[in-house]
Amino acid sequence: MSGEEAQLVARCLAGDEKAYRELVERYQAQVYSLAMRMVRRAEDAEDLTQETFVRMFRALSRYDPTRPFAAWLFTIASRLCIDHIRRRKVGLVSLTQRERDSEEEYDIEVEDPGLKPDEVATHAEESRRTAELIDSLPPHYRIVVILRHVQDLSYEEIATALQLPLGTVKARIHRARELLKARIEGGTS
Amino acid sequence: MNRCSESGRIESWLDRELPAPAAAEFERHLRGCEHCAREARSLEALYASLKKVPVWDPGPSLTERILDRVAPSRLRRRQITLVGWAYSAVSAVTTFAFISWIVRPETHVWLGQLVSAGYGRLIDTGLFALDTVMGVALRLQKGWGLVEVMGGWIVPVIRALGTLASDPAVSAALWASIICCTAIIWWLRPRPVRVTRGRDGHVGILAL
Repeated sequence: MSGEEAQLVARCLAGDEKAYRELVERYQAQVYSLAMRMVRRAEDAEDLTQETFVRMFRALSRYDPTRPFAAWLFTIASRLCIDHIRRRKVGLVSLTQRERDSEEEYDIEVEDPGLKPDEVATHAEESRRTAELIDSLPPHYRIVVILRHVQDLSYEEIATALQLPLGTVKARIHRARELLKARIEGGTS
Repeated sequence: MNRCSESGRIESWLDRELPAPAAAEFERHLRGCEHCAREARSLEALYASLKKVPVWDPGPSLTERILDRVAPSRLRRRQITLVGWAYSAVSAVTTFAFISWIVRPETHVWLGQLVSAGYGRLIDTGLFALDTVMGVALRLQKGWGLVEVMGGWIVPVIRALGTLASDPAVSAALWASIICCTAIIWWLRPRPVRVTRGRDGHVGILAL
């Protein structure tokens, strides 16, 4: 954990409400994105994000500062997402598609990389396509890909987060990459 | 093209999972193996595109929602609001019940009886007090000792309190107030902030 994060956690434990806000603002987009990719419904993703932070703050006094904070937070978030999927058996609907009974379309915010308009369009298209590919993966592959490649967790951290043997995590990530590679190659050929 | 026996190490190499000597050896292999080099390039491209996956920002409304559930002052405010609402509700119900009860004709009769009984008791108490004062004065006049005078004055008061406490309603109210006061004093006791960082190991979500 970085010194800044350690300080932030210490301030939260001391009851400093500005620190609460900083911690939430720093991680809420990442937690929300993870939840959104997993459960595919904005309302559920918001509820899961809220629950993740509630549980995180409740358990903050028991947090081991030698572990990366983000990994710990994503452990909570991913377990909540998996539990949610198990409970609801969420259908496989693309994130970029409209919900069946709604005219509302999900907003996808793309960070401005400082490129020319045509390059931005290409990058946005590429990001959208990659996101769609991730969304098309089965949940048990999707979660490992998100945690490894989007949230930058190590294999060991993913294994801890998902309560899986390290070998299983590696095998799932390998299989997910194979699937993605095959789909990308299938799409471009 | 046939699969290279070393291709299984590409992902470990890209994930920086290989120890330094093994990584250097694999890099030498990559320079000579076209199949592995192509696989590595393809995987690198995949890694790069996965990094570009967009992040959703749920906006400040979710931040506020979360803080409403976790920020200590907001939790306190919520509790106070809750207590306030409960108090208002109880007050409203009580007032309604009291007004409904007081407008009934039987209540007027009963209140009249109660007032006359109370008036009688008030007169009795006044006479008792007057009697006590007169008794004290007479005893003092007779030159009795101060202790005897005080004893004679305290005994009726204790007797009166005993009679009052023997009433089940009074006794129940007395006990309830003692219990409430004890509970409030216990709740207001100073409590140290529990900070156990570094002592306990990480506790997963199942232990939350």
